[in-house]
Amino acid sequence: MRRFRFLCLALVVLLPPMASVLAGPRSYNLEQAVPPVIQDRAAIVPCTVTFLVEDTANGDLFAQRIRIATGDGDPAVDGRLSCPTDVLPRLPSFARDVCTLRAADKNTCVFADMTRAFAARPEIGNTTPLSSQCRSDTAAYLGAACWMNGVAAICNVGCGNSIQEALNAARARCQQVQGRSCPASVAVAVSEPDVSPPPVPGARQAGR
Amino acid sequence: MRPLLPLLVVPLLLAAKATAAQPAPADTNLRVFLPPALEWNKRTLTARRGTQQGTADLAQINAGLTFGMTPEQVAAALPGTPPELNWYNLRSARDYPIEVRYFWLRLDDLPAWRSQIKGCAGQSSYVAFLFTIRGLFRISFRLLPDAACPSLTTAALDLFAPYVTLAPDIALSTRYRSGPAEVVDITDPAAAALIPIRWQMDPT
Repeated sequence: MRRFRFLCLALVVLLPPMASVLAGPRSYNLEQAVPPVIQDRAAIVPCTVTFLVEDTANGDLFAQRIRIATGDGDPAVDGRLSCPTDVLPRLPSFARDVCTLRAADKNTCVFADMTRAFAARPEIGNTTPLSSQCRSDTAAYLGAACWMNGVAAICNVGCGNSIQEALNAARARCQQVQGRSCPASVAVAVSEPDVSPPPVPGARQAGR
Repeated sequence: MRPLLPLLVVPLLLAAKATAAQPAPADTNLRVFLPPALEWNKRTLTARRGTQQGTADLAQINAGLTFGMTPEQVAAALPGTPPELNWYNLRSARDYPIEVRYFWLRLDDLPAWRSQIKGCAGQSSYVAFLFTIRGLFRISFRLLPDAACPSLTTAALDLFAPYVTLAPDIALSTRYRSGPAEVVDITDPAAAALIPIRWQMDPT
């Protein structure tokens, strides 16, 4: 009985220090501040605005990309840098130059998102420059859906994060604006370099 | 096996119905040309060419030819060209306000360009090389339809496409029709007053 008492006493005295040794150090140097996430800026898509411009004299469509450099400190959302909105209204005339430099008559160079009146009066006033563009901070692809009026394509433009989404947006807009089906279509990547996604039936991806 | 038959057939029928219910695929494919990207300059508030290109980029897609070459240099670079060709024995091109001379070769005899065209190109189609006294300033592809090749729009687009990838200050590419002919002109941007002049097909 004495031996039993001695064992119980020894346990009571020795166990707490042993437990603390087995548990390891009780304090860690846990920094409360969360370390910053370092983004690979090379992998970030810079702001690119792509316009679709048409020479209605021959139906040639040009996708003119314009890159806008943004500051190193600008935040990226989903790996895409935002496009500065103050610059956007200045871009259409530069995009249209891709056509006017080549065309015999500058008046045949128009933006590819057209009103319903365009077929009867093919003037630049019947096109909408800001709807003829897609921005890389909101879309990966620009789609166009058109109907053919002689050699000229009467089109509307849609943007999306996949080829199919861009084409669906363009077709829906064309059907709504033109009041008819728009069976001709195409999609291009908004940003360079061009990615080569799998082909979509009924749509041709532009290539160089 | 018989009890399994509906299990196999019904999903197949449903899949077929679903396919039929999808919107019809587009029946026409458009082609979009991709010129070099521009870069917005915050300081000057202008958009200018972003990529570095030079005459080597033109030569690469242009059978080794660059603007400013003499008729002898152009002839040496092309197969089947008479070696004695020079400025003095070239024909005069009357469409221009200054002295412009040219020679031409059948497109079928120029594999560097003919190979870019996937379909037919018209047996009479040819390429005109136009010079001022300062050298080559324009290459003009003139595609002429015939019974075997009544439409040359696709051929013209095939020729036009690679040149659009060049900045307009390296080579200015234009595409137009002249009568039944499809024309693609590649012009030296330094040619100034000669740039807007288009070939008019002789109606006779």
